[in-house]
Order: sequence, then structure tokens, then C-alpha cells
Amino acid sequence: MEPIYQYAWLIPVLPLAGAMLVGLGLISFNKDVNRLRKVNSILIVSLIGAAMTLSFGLLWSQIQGHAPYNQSFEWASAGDFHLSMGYVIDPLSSLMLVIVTTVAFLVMVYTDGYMAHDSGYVRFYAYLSLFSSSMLGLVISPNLVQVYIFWELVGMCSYLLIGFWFYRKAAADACQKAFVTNRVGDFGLLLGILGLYWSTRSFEFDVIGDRLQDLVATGSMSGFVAGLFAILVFLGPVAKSAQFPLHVWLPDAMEGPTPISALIHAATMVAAGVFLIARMFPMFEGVPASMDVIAWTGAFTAFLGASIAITQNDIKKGLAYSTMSQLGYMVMAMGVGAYSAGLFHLMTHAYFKAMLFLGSGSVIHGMEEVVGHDPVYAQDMRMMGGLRKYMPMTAITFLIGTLAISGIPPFAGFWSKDEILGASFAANPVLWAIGYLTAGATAFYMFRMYFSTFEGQFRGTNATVKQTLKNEQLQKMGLAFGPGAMNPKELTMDTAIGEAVDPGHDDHGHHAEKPHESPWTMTLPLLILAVPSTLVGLVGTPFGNYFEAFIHAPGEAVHLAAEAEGLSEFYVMAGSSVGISLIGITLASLMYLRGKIDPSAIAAKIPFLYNLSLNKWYFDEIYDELFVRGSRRLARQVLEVDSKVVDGVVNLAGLATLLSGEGLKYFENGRAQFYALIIFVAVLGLVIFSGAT
Amino acid sequence: MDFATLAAQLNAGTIVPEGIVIVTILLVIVGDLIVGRSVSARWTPYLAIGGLLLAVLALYQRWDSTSPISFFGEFNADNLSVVFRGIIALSAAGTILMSIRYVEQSGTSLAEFLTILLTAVLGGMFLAGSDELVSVYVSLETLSISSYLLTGYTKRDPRSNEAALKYLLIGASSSAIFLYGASLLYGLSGGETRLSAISAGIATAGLDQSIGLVIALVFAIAGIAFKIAAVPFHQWTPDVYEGSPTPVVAFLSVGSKAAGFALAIRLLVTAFPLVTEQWQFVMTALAILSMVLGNVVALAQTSMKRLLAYSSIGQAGFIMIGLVIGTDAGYASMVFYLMIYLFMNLGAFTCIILFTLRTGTDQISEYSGLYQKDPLLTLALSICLLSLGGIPPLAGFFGKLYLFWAGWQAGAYPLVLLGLVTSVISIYYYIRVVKMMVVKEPQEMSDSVKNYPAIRWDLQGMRPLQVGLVMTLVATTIAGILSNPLFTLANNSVTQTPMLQAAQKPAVQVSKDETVRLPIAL
Amino acid sequence: MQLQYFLLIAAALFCIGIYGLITSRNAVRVLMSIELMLNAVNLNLMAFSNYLDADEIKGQVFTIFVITIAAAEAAVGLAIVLAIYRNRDTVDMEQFNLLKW
Repeated sequence: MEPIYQYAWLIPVLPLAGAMLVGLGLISFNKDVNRLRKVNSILIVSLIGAAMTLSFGLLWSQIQGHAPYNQSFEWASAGDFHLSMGYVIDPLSSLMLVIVTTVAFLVMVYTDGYMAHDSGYVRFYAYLSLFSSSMLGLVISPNLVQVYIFWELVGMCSYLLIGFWFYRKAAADACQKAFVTNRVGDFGLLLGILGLYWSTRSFEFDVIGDRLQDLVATGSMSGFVAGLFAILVFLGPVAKSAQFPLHVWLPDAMEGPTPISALIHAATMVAAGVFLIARMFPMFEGVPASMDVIAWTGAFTAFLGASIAITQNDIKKGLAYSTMSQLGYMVMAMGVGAYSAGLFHLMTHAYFKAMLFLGSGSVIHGMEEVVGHDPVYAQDMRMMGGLRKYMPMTAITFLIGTLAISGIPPFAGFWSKDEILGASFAANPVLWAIGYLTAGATAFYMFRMYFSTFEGQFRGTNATVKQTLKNEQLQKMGLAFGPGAMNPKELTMDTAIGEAVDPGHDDHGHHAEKPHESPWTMTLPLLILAVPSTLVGLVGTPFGNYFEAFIHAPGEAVHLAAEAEGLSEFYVMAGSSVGISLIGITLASLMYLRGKIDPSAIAAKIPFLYNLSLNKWYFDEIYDELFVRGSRRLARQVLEVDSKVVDGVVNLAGLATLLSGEGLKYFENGRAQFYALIIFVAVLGLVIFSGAT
Repeated sequence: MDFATLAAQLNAGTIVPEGIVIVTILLVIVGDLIVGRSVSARWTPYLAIGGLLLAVLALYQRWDSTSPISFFGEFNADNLSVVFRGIIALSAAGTILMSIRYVEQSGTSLAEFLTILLTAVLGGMFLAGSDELVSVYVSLETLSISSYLLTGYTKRDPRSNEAALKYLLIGASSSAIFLYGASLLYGLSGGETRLSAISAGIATAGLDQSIGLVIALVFAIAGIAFKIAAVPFHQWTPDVYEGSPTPVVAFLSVGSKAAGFALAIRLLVTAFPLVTEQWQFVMTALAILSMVLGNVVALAQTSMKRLLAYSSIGQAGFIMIGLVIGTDAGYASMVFYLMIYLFMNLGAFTCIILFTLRTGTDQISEYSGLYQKDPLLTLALSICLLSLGGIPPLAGFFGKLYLFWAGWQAGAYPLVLLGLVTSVISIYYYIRVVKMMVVKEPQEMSDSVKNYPAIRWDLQGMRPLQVGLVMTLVATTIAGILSNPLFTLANNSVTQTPMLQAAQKPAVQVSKDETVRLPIAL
Repeated sequence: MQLQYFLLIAAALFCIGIYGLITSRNAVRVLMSIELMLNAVNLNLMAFSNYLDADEIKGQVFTIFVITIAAAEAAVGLAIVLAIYRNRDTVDMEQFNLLKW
């Protein structure tokens, strides 16, 4: 099986080659390449398909028990500083390879249908391929430096993809926000990497872990410093995996096209944070304080995400907050030491969340036929309803996904979430309680989404709803009538509110009365993804945890068979979590399916909480005031210092020199005897001085 | 005894280059006498240049000679002296190229000018190889007196007269001081006049720590510092440079200065090794003062020649860094810089002469807008000035780089830092001229440039001027990039000169830190 | 007669020469002072030669050279003074400051 390992480097390189080829083509022969749409997409899809096949091969080999394979070469060295680049194929990386390539493959197929009428079709494929390559490179990185390189690369690809429709102000703002927020996290990560290198002299994951523990044990480094480094490294995943407090970019990232919301912001890139925590697990384990921070951050994020999702009206935003919440679960799992549980949930979540997002994309695609290409209308769940009649395949796959995320057995989400809840109960009951309540909320808001979208009456042609939405949007615009706001003249009723018309998008001209099912290129991936969403959970059941046997924290011994006492605990746990999920589902059906309980009445009773949730806990406003305006103020002050003090000193030096020149020149008064006098005095002076010393 | 054995005993082969110069002088004088002034003006300059180039060729043959000492120890034709003699001869050749038209236009006799110039060259060349007090003094005076005459050559111009008088008075007083110091050396060493024997004599007399030696040292330095125009012995330089005919200034600034540095190295290293710390200290002080005063006062100048005078004071300060540190690299960098300085300065002066010939003025402000009317002159002057300022990739940058690097290596950090700072200051006044020529709008042209005559190269003497201009321009541009030959030359001249090597080795062995510590006591 | 006396006289003459150089208003007097300085050095050389170098009398040889050079210098100096006088009609040192600053 060696050849497959030797060619493992092809996995990230093939999509990269595709991206470069298409990219160069776009730069040089823009019009021609843009015309050859299908050629480009088939090329890119085939390349990722090849990568996917290779990944499957590697995973199979690893499952068979092949030893981890490491290949690296020295990239730079100066003295005793050595930097090596390469790749490592071990159980974790092979699993990640499969996840990323499969989801990427399906998303690329889906894109053909979704972006069929978009002018940036080819550019999108190039970016998708570039992203896939970066993500694949990230998961096979053998050391921190290479991880950091690919970390930044995926961040950049995310920026490009979120801002894909860059002529829309909202999208441009969103991609900038994503990039800057991620930058904060990346900065922390970089500082952490440097700090760890400074103390442990290594970039390798396991070496760092061992040496750091030794350093703290021998007392040559205070626990505080070790904890500081660990927290700094954790900042990277906090940003990348949208944990509190760097979570603000993820909902805004929904401005990007839905395929990338599925690929990047559900399945893969946001999982990179969890992946890094897994890789650095030996180090984190050695610093218990950092594990606590991780666990509580994850728990809080899970709760935060769920609490905001319950009031969201935009289908994609709702899914975004749900992603945030699930990521919180994964991070919490890592924090309590449940390594395999966290990664298991990563895997299951990747599949069902990708399916949910692709499903929402299909819904939006259908809605756009009816209400036009304005995301204010096409993505708002208040305009949807009863879509099951028109889009049956989308509906059934969405239902499967919803069941999975709500933790209903035997769907995938149940097994993974339950394992996390079990582990957190063992660590700290409060953490378990937060996770437990969040699980209930998850079920509630997910089914709220399902019922609002697919059940009931179709409200897409309802003029009153449309008016409500329009009023809301105008109000939001009104808030923006300050300096830097849009020109009110642009705000006409004909063009889409808050959006410039996509120059290349061909308008259908007419609006349909009813939505219809999406083309097979979109529904096929949905159907394919339904399979792992249902079944993949079965590899990690407590009855035979093959997953844990395959992927476990380094240095842990695992047994395959279940223990008897463990099983009874499992039943109690499972029962209670299924119970609260069912409660949530019932509540949602009562409010949104049957209409027995009125949501707005409840909202009116607790306006503070409702507004808090609707406005995302006001984080965006707080950050804007504190950081954005704060740093602007600081920059202005620094400018003052620079122009007055620094420039002043420089100018003063120049002026002083010129003035001294003007002054000294009068020593040459033109009288020869004066010169002679100076000479004799100088000689005398030198004699005295030299004689004295 | 017959002539041949006498010549062999004296090892007279070493002064064949000087002999060629003497023959040239004789030919010029006699030829001028015979043919008359107007006719001789046509061929005497080329004869003189030919003679000088022949002398350089003879020098080239004397490279790496096995028996450099001649005339019973009075003359030392080692590699160092060969290089310096070459620099002096080439500077005179360049000066002649630019002086033909100038002297013609001033209405004076060209042949006499050439005679005096060649005599000065002769004095300088002998000075570079003199190894004994008498020959040092005689060559020094030959050079100086010829320079006084050259300075006052344009008798009708009162400024030239005044410059000559000042030069004479100051020069005479410094050479008197120098002579006094030489007499003290003679006495202290118990009657030795050969430089190499003096220090031995002083040591045996047990007078190596006496005040007399210090006085002799200071007096000798006064004489040397006058020649190289170091502060505070520099007062004559601006006035003399401003008043003299410009070709003379060119020669003074390069040839005379090179001869002064040659004397400095030889005298200080050979005759004063017992007081090395003292002379290095004094020279450091002089270097600092020169760098600072030369560059700072240059900022306030309005006359081009005066500006270049102060700039040459500053440049002397830089070169003294190489002298002070006392390492192989230091001396080699000095030689290298002087070679490059030759081209830069001669180029700058050629341009100034050209401008003066065409417009009759020397003021910097009159240069504005020159780019519109005379691009070649603008280009040449800009390149030479930028090279003087030390802008890469011109030659001056590499010269300064080598000097500062040698200084840094030897541990003379304050000196190098000061050198860098004053270099920056110097760039200001060089670029100010360039800016004036290049950047000004057509409406801001000075009157002289507005009335700029048509450029004609066919007047008598203009062709040599053009040739000189182009050659120095090319040399300045590429001598930096293709500096390796010059570099090796400078290095070999130092490493293969026994005097310098002998001076260094004991210093290294005795106390390595001393050589490294150096004037950091400041 | 000890060596020091000669040296003292020579030093005194040298200083007198310096004084004359610096303070004379007449250019010719300045030239005379220069001559005085050079002669002071001659004295020095002769003294050293007599007391320390009696066999090879290098000092005396040196002196001859110095006298010669001093003469040449004086000749040149006078020529320059003459040229100035022809132009400026004065030999007052104070008047010669056209070149300054």
C-alpha cells in the first residue's frame, strides 16, 4: 500500500492545479474561459473526484491498521533552526480527508445547478477548488507552521467566497468582517505558536505537548505562561470555529452563495478549529486550566447559538446559528477531554449540516423563481411554507437532517451528541445541563424551521407578508441614514432594496406563481448526503465504538466492546436527551404547525429576551462601538503624535544643521593672519592636550 | 666611478617615472621657447599628457619591484608609493585636459602653466616615495611652491592674487612648523634623518615618552593636516579654491591631497610608531572636526567652487577614518577611495569649468534649469555630485562603503556613525545642485542659462575638455560596479608594502585589543 | 655652551617669527617673519648636527637645503606680493579679504 501514501501529496495538489489553471485562464482569456462553463466545472469536479478516491484509499488503508505515514522535507534552515514541510497520514487526517473531499465533491456537483445562471460560474469553481486544496493541505499538515500557512489560506478563500458577489455592499462588508475577525484569532494563534516554539523549540504537536508538560513540572516555566500560550493557540479555533467572542462573522458569512455556506461554514472550514484542537490535544491536556476555558467557551457558544436561532427568520441565518451552536458542542467535547466524541460529532455534523444548507439552497432557488432575486424575500421563512408539495425531495432530505441534528435515534446526530453529553456529565454536571437545555432548544428551532418552510400554506404570493418584510428592511435602512449610508435616491421600490443588481445575472423577467423542485444536479447531492446523515452514526455507538477505536486521543488505550455499567448510564442519558428533544419538537409543532400557541404573543410577553435574541445579543453593536470606533479614535491620536512629534524632531534636526552651517561659515573671515593664528593656537592646544595624556 | 655603476648603486631605476616627467618639463620649456607661445599652445598640452601617461606606464612596470629602496634609503618605491604616484600623475593628466581652453581664454601662457603644473606633479610624486626628512621637505616644498604659483597664475584677477597670497602665507607657516618638527625628530633620534632609522634612534636614546617627541609629532601633523586640508588647518581651502583658476583647484583637490595622504601614511607609520596611540588620537579628532565642519558649512555656500572646497574638507575627513584605524583594510580603503575620488572630483571640476567657460559665472543659483539647455553637462555633473554624495550604484558609494566597513571592522564605531551622519548631510547639498539643474521649470531658469550659448565643441581646447568629461563620467559610473580591479590594486598596494605590514604585525601581537579599542576612548 | 641654549634661542626666534606673522600689517613684513621662522629651524638643525651628529653632519646638509628652499619661497612670495600690489595698489594685509565666508 506504499504507493498510495507516496502520492498522498496529490490530494491537495490536484484541486490546486485545477484552480490555478482556471484562474490563469480567467486572467488571460477571460471571455473565452467564461464561455466554456461546463468544461471548467467538469475539470474541477473530476480533479476533486480523483482526490476523493485517493482519500478513500488512504482511509481504507488506515482502517486496516496501517501505521501512520509521515513524509517531510526540510524547507528552511538557519543554524539550528529547522523548518520542515510535508504531510502526515494518520487516522485523524485520513478521516478529515474523506470528509472534506466528499462534501466538496457533492457541493461542486450541486453548484452546477445552483450557480447555473450566475455570471461568475467559472470563477466560483476556481475559488471552490482553491479552497478545497487549502483545506486538504491543512488536514495533512505535520507541524504547526504548515497548519498556520494553510489556516491563513482557508481564511483567504473564505474571504473570496463570502464576498463572491462583491458588488453587493452587504457581501463586501461581510467578507471583510469575516477576514478581520479571523485575523484576530490568527494573531493569537501565531503568538501562541511562537511562544510554544520559544519555550519548547519545536513545532511538532506531540513534542510540544511533552516538553511543555516537562517545563511546567520542573518549574522552569510558570503554569501561567503555559496556560497563556495554550489560550493564545486556542484563539485560532475560537475565530475559525465561530466561538464566543469571535463568532460574529459566521452569520454575516451567509451573504455568500449557499454552496459555500454548506462547504465552508458548515462542514469543513469551521471544523478546522476543532481539528486544530484535536491535533494540539497533547498540549492542551497538559494545561488543565486551558481545557476548562475550552470547555466553558464551547458550552457558552452552544447556548448562545441556540438562543439566537430560535428567533431568526432568515433560513440561512438560522442554520448559521445552529452551526455555531453545534461547533460549541464539539469544542466543549474537546474541552472535557472527550476527544473521539468531539471528532465524531464533527463528522456527523459535517454531513447533515451540509445537507441542510444545500437543502436551504434548494429552497431559496425555488423561492427566487417566485419572489425575485432579493435575499430579503427569498430567504425569509415568513414568505415560505407548504413547500413540501412543490419540492418533495428537498423536503424529505431536510427532514432527515432536522431529525439528525435534533438527536433522534437512529440518525447520526443522536449518537454523537449523546456521547458528548455523557462525557460532559462525567466532567461537570453544569456543562451537561447547558448542553442538555441547548439540545432541547436545538430540536425546537430546527423543527420550527422545518415547519415554517415546508408545512402549512405557501405564503410566497402573500402581499401582506411582503409588505411587512419591506417595512422592516426600510426601518433597518433608516437606521443607516447617517454618514456613510446609502444615497436615498438609490432606494427605489423597483430595484432590490439594499442591493445593486447583479450585472451578469440574467433576469427571468417573469415571476412564477409556484416554486418547483430543483434540478437533479441539486437534488442528487441531497439524496446522497442523506445516507451518511442517517447511517454514519452507527460506527460510533456505545455498543461497539469503532470510531473511538479508530480515532482516539494519542496516548489513550481503547477497548472496542461496551462495558455493562457504561451501557446503563447510556440508556439514562439517551432517554433524557431524546425526551427533551421530543419536548422541543412538540412545542415547535404546536406553535408553527398547528398554530395552537401564538409565537408573537410569547414574544410580546418577554420583549427584552425576545429583542436580545433577535438582535444577536447586541454583540455587533458592542464590537462596533468598542473596537471599530475605538481603534479609529486611537488611530487619529497616533496620527497627531506622528505628525507633530516624530516629524517635528526630524525637521528640527535638519533645521539645526542648516543653521549651524550658516553660523559656522563666519569663521572664514578672509583674513590670512587670522588663519595663521588659528593654526598656531591649534598646534599649541594639541601639544598641551597630547602632552597631558 | 662611472655613471652606470653609480646609477646601479643608487638604484636610480626607481625614479624613472619621475625622470620621464622631468624630461617632459624640459621639452615643454624648451619647445615653448623655440616655437613661441601661440604655436606651442597647440602641442605642449598633448606632449605633457603623453609624458604623464608614459610615466604611469613606467610606474606600472615598477609594480612589485624587488628592490624598492634607492638613493641610500632616501626614496622608497614600494607598491604604496607606486599607487600614489599613479594617482598624482593621472590627476595632473586630467587637469591638463580641462585647462587647455581655460588658460587660453584667460589670456595667459599655456606652456608656462604646464611647466609649473608638471613641477608640482614632480614634487608630489617624489613626496609619495620620500623616505627621509630632507627629501620629504624638498619634495613638499616643490609641490607647495608650484601650487602657490599655480594659484596666482591669472595675475590680472585680484581674487587669484589674494588666493595665492593666502596660500603662500598659510603654507609657508605650516611648512615652517613641519620643518621645526622635523628638526626635533632629527635631534631626538640622535642625528638620524631616514624615517626608518628615526624611531630606532629615539628608542635607543630612551626618549620615547618625552614631550619632545609629542611636540615633534604635533608639528608634523600640522604640516600634514595643512596639505590634506583637515580642520582646524583648513582655513585656506575655501578661499584658495574660490580664487584660483578652476583647473588648478582640480589638481589641488586631488593631486595635492593624495600627496598629502601619502606623506601622512609614510611619515606617521614609519617615523612615529612609538606614539601610535597619540597620533591616532589626534588624527581622530581632526577627522571628526573635518567631517562635521566640512559638511555642515558646505550647506551654506552659494559658490560652486567654495562648495566643493568644503566638500573636499569633508571627504578628507572620511579618508582619515581609514588612516586612523591602522589596519590593512583601512589603508586599502584609503587608497581605493582616493582612486575613485580622482575620477569624481575631476569630473565635477570639468563640468564646472565647462559651465564657467560658457556662462562666466560660478554661483550655484545660476545653474537652475540647465537640463533644458545642456543635457550632457547636467548628466555629467549630476553623476559626479551624486557619486561624491555616495549614492549607489556609483563609484563613490562603494568607496564610502569600503571605508566605513573597514572602520566598523576595526571597532571605530563612533567614527563610522559620525561618518554616516555627515554623509547624509552631504547628500543634501549635492542633491540641491542636481535639483537646481534638473527639476526647475523653464520659467525658473537662471539668466545665465537663458542666455546659454550654442554648444560648440570645435574651439581649441574644447575637444580635450569633452574627452575628459566623458572619460571621468564613464569612470565614475562603472568604477563602482566593476570596482574589482581597483579594489585588488588597493589591497595589493597595502598588503605588499613591507612598511605597513611591519607596522601592523607588532601592533597586533603586542596588544590585540589596543588596535581594536582605538579612539573609542572618545 | 650646552645644546639647550641653542635650542632655546631657536625656539625664541621661532616664536618671534610667529608673532610677526600674525600681527604684521605689511605683507613684506609677513614674508620676513616667515624667513625668520625658517632660520630658527636652521639654528635648531645646526645645533643638533653639531652636538649629536658630528661625523655625518646631516643637519648641516639639511640646513643648506632649507636655506635654498627658503630663498625660493621668498622669491615666489615677493612675486605674489608684487602682483597683488599691481592690482590693488596696497600691501596692507587687512585689505585682502575679498574671499571670505
